[in-house]
Amino acid sequence: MSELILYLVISPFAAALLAYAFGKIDKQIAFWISEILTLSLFIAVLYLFFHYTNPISVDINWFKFGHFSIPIGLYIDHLSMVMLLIVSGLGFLDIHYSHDYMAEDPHQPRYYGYMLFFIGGMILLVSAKQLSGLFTGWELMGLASYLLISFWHEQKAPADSGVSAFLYTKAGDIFLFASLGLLFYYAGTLNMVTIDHLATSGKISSHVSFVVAIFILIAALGKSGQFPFFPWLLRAMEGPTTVSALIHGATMVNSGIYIVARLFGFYAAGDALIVVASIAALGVFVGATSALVQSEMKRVLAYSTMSHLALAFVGLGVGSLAAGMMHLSNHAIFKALLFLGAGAVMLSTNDTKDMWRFGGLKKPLFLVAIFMAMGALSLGGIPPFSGYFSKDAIFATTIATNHGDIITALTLIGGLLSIAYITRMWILIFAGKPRDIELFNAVKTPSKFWISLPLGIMAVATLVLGFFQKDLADYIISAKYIEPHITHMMPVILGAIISLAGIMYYFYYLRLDLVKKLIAQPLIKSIHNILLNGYYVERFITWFTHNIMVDFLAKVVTYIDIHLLDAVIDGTNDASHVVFNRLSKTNTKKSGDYTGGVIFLVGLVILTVMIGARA
Amino acid sequence: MSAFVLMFFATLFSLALHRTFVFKPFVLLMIVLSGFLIFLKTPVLMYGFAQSSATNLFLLVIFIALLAFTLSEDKEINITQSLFIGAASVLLLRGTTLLTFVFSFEAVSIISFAVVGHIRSSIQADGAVKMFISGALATALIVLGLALFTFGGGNFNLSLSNIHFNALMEVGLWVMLAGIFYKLTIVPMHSWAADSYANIKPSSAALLSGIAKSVVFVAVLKLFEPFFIQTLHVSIFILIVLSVLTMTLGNILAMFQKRVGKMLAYSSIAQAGYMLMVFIAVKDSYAQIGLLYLAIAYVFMQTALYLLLDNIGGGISDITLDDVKGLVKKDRLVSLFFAIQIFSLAGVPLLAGFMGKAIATYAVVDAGYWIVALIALLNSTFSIGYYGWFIKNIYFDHSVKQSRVISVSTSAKIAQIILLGGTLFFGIFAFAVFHTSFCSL
Repeated sequence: MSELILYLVISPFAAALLAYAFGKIDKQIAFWISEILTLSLFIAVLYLFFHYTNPISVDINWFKFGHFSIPIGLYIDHLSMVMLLIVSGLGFLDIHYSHDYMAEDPHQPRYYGYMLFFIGGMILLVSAKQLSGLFTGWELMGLASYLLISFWHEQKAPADSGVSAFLYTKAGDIFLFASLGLLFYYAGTLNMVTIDHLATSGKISSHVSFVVAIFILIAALGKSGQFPFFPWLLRAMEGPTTVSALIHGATMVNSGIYIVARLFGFYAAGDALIVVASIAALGVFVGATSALVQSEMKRVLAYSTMSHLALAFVGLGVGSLAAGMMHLSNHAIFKALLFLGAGAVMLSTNDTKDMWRFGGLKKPLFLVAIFMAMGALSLGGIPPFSGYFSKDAIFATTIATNHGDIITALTLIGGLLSIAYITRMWILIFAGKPRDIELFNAVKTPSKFWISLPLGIMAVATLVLGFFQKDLADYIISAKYIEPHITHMMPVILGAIISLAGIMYYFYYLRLDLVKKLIAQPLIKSIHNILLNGYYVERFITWFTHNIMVDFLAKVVTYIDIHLLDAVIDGTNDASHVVFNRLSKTNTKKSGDYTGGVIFLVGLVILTVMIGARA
Repeated sequence: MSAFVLMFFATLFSLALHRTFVFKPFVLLMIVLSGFLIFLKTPVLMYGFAQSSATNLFLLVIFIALLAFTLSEDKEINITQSLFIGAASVLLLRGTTLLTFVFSFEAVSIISFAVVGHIRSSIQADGAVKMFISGALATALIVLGLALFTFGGGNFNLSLSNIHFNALMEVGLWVMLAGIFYKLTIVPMHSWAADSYANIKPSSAALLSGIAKSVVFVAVLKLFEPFFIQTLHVSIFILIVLSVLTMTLGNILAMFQKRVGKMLAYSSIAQAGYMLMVFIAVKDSYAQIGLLYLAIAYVFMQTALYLLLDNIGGGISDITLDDVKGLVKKDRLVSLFFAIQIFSLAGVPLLAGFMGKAIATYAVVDAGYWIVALIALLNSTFSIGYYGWFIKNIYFDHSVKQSRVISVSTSAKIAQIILLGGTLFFGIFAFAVFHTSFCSL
């Protein structure tokens, strides 16, 4: 078993190098190396899944001397297993899909190298035992994300987006790094299971736990593209769609939730869950409302990702590990499906992202339309698709635990709105009449094997998984999951969902002209603009960093640096020149002089020994 | 058959193969075979020799470095001589008595004179002659010390453990150590090295400063450990003064050198200071592993750097910083080799040099001399000044027209990859050394 886990962690990195190196010879080699490796990863994870009995732990002591040792441990339990299944399964499908999606790109070896590198980082993250290992995976993955967002770095927008993603997430990562130090100091270990245990049994003071938990939460919000760090997630859509699907829809953005789930006991002990729930509830609302008005389909999906991950955070925040993780797993599948579906649409329409230019695409892209509809139903929360059950569980727990009306209201509104924006998106793309005839006539039908098959697999998965939600929940918490019962919740929620879908059908299918008139109305136009720009959060952050951080704080620090620190250091430069010149005179280049040194030393030695022997 | 015997006869036989195409393959094969014999732990079947896992590991490291040297070097006579250094190293590291130490030490020294005998210019002649004079003087001191030791009643055909040292014996051993320290470039007897290492052919300097020096260091700790432990109350003063002086002076003098070879020579002197520092902590259980680690790291870094210098200058010994300016535009791989090995020398984590310094400093702190450790750390930060300057010249400066840098052959690059592998391996997989640690040297 432990060899298999080592294989999982190491092989993606090795394969990344191979894919890059041999891909130079022939691009196909890079693809096949990636395809075979990811398939083997998925099979290995499945094997682990079916042969799992107890948490598997691999302990390697990197080195140890004195009281100092650096352990590197891997640890697979139910939580990690769910994540591993998601990463390897979706990773494989994504690579398979890339065969056609990236077919025209001249830089495929680089693409596959980065992708495998990313998968390696993600696997390391979810299977690490110590926070240090998790942090390593976290950073490797962040690097991969940066490289992949700016994959087309010859263009300005992707290059800038990569930098922006790197900086936003890095701002959070600093806090994770700080919490590593704090935990090592206060808990004496970085082993996450032990930390959880120590906190639950009260060995770590709850004040420390609270601060550390908030620090980790900041990093988690950054990595998961949550409010207020979400602008990078929107800009990340400049990368290839396969990257958006795997990294910014299904896996990397989950790592923030994973870390909170992994330290769930710690968060509970530090009373930090309420903070998680509050920030996340705001995120649910902001994401969902912003998604309602976007015109690019990838941006709709990005806001939806933010909103749904916030929902999962709310699930954790209100105290239900099972609900949060269930939603994470379901979301990973249907969001990857929707992203790749959007990718298929883009592939067929020569990279068009603007939904207003589509319409009526269900005829040429029949399979894609069907599969995306299934993903949309799951995202919207229609039973029996899996999305319904986890969303329902989060709603029920939120209402039952009652952490305040605002949290409940924001969560419910945001959660229910998802059906609205996804219906709008599907109708705009696939239903109605073509709005851009030229574009419509040029639509190519994508390959069934390379494009439609992975979509189909995911669509079936999101449907079938709906019937195993109870088992999934039980598996995650390793106990019987009991969902809180709220009277009349199901009819009310379903009623709301169906009426929202109906409204969208009316506006976007029957009366599209009305929508355009509505937007022209001044008040609605200004609200529309606020939503379209994501509540101007990015503009505020840019303003803040530019005016406060760069123009004010940085200038003060630079002044001190130049006039105080540098002055001192420049002084040492001159001093060391003087010392150097004096001492250089000892090097006379005459052998005879050098012998003097020997005689001096021998004299010194004899003298010392004589004095020492007498004493 | 022991590795010594194989290497010895390989040395003799390789003379016959000069100027034939089988020469290099033969030498490489012999080195690999000898390494394999070390791996099999075949003993030297003579009185006064014993082996331990630590010395065997170190010998493997030496043989790997020799392999790289053979690949990189083009003068056949130098390669033959390097084989002999390998043979002598086996004896030196496995010897347990003063006698075995003295004659294997002389074997290493004599061949060093032969190595620098490759004189093509007056600068190189200057280096070679200084080397020879210092070597002769060192030998004289060693023999004098041995004589004093014997007059005091010591038996040079036994190991130094379980002996009670009287004053004459102590003086004798210290005179001997003075001779050895002379060869190890300890301040105030360092100046010859600054001239010699910088003036002789850089590949010879790689052999002398990279391989021979670290072998001698490990052998000295191994042999003299009981002596140091017993008389530490007397010698601690000398050791502290010498090590602090050596590292500080070496680092300061390396700082504004214009010639790369000279900078490396002074940096090598500073490194000798770090290694001598470990002797202060000789009673501590981490001293041996600290020195072993330093020496292993040093073999890779120093050999690699001098070989690189040899490669880019085509054997001339006065490459300056101006010559290497903008090297990165000419050869990115070579620049990378330079950068990583320099970083290792400076002690950047995840490279062997860092681990060596970390453990050595730990040992010194553990033994209670934290002030010395602090000075060593300060020196280490100090050294980043000139190491960084060197890197800056390679990476961020525009090349000058009169640069004498030539392109590097593929086999030399392979040699560098081997040495780089060593630096990375021992930087990351520390347990390879720790496994051997607690069997004594």
